[in-house]
Amino acid sequence: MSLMMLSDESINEKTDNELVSLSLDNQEYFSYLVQRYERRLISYIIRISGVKLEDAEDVLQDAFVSMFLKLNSFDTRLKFSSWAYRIVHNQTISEFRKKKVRPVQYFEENDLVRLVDSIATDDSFDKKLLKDEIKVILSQMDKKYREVLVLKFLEEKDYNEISDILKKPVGTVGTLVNRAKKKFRDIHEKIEKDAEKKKQ
Amino acid sequence: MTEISDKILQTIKEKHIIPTSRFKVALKNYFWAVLAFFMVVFGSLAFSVLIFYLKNEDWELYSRAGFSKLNFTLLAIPYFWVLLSLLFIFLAYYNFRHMKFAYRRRFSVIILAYFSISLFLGSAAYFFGAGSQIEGLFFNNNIVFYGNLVQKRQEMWNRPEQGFVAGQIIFVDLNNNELQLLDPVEKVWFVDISHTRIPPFVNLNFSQRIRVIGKIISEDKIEAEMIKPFFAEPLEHCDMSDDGDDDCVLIHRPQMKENIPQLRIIN
Repeated sequence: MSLMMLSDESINEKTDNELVSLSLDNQEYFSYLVQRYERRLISYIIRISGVKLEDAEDVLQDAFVSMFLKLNSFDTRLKFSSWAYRIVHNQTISEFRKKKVRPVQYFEENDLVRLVDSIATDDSFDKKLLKDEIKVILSQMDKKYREVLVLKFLEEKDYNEISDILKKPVGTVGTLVNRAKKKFRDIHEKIEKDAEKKKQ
Repeated sequence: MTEISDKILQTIKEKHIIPTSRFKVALKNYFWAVLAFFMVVFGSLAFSVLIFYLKNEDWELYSRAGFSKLNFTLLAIPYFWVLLSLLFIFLAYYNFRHMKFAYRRRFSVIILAYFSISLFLGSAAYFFGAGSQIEGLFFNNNIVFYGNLVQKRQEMWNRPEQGFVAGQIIFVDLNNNELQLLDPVEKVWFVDISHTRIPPFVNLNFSQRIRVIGKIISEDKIEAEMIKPFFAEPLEHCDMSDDGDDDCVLIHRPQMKENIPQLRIIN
């Protein structure tokens, strides 16, 4: 190693962009970026693909290697986290394309409750939905709607970040989020009506 | 160091992975930007020919030629150049999409911006005569499909029953005040120009494309009242009664010499 490594404390004080610059001079620094984001990104991969933890780790590994390869194309006007999410998102989709299978979603119970709480902002909506009901609703939604719901309400990204991750205009992201929420409510209503009909 | 970060670092080291060089990254970015720029330039030039066609159409003669306004408009649209302009706008959009942060702009905004730029630059190019020059270039080099467009225009102005004949001059006899014209269906017309005042901007030379408006006096003979260039006169301030008017100097398009596909030798 040609450069002397910094102490853990000073590494923690470094911004993502500074760590990117350091990684370009010394690859060892890249592992600190990996450590900062690995947990968040693994749960993101699982949320959008439903793969097991080990498979998610493989996808993440490939995504980080790809990130390292593209490190010079990282634009500092972008948040590193948005760039990382974008590469992970693309890597996950590409893995599924290679295997020719459709990604499924996996949400922990806590995720589902958070999702419903965020979508159901008015009182008319029954927030006490069953976990299975929410899963059914999500499975009936288009991929593009599920993607924005995950990013907005579970990953807690703002519209600009989602725009940078999905490479879509901010206005389009806003429209997608609103449509996704409406779709969620519509599917829920339809399921409830169908259930009532069956009872009668 | 976590297990994952350790594995990733190992992979990077074992496979000797190094980040793509800054030069390559910059080259890729510039490549798309330069390509997008050229597509805008080409699109603008196509627009200039489109303007040239529409501006120089004889809108005042359509009813005499027996067209309805709608029919004439539909026939007058140079579809080849419309499609070419749209193609370049789309290609410019495609290239732009590969540039950094291009995704932040809406499709409609980008297309509208490219359309406006092409219209503006195309108008400027038309003003400097690019439309006419490019049209001549396409015609003289027998660009694929382009002959069909020109032929369509020839057919449009070739309506002998209404006294309109369009074609290329294949013989000029100024002593006898006669021209021979080959129309798009390869019929030779004898044009009597003895009662016609030839406007200073009309070039009665071999291979020139012209339109004759007059009276059919026999099966293959027309007495010309008016002779117009194949495209309506672009010289807006030209006073036709004044032979010395500088505004009437014709913008010569390159002429075909030997490369006339429909030329026949007249015995």
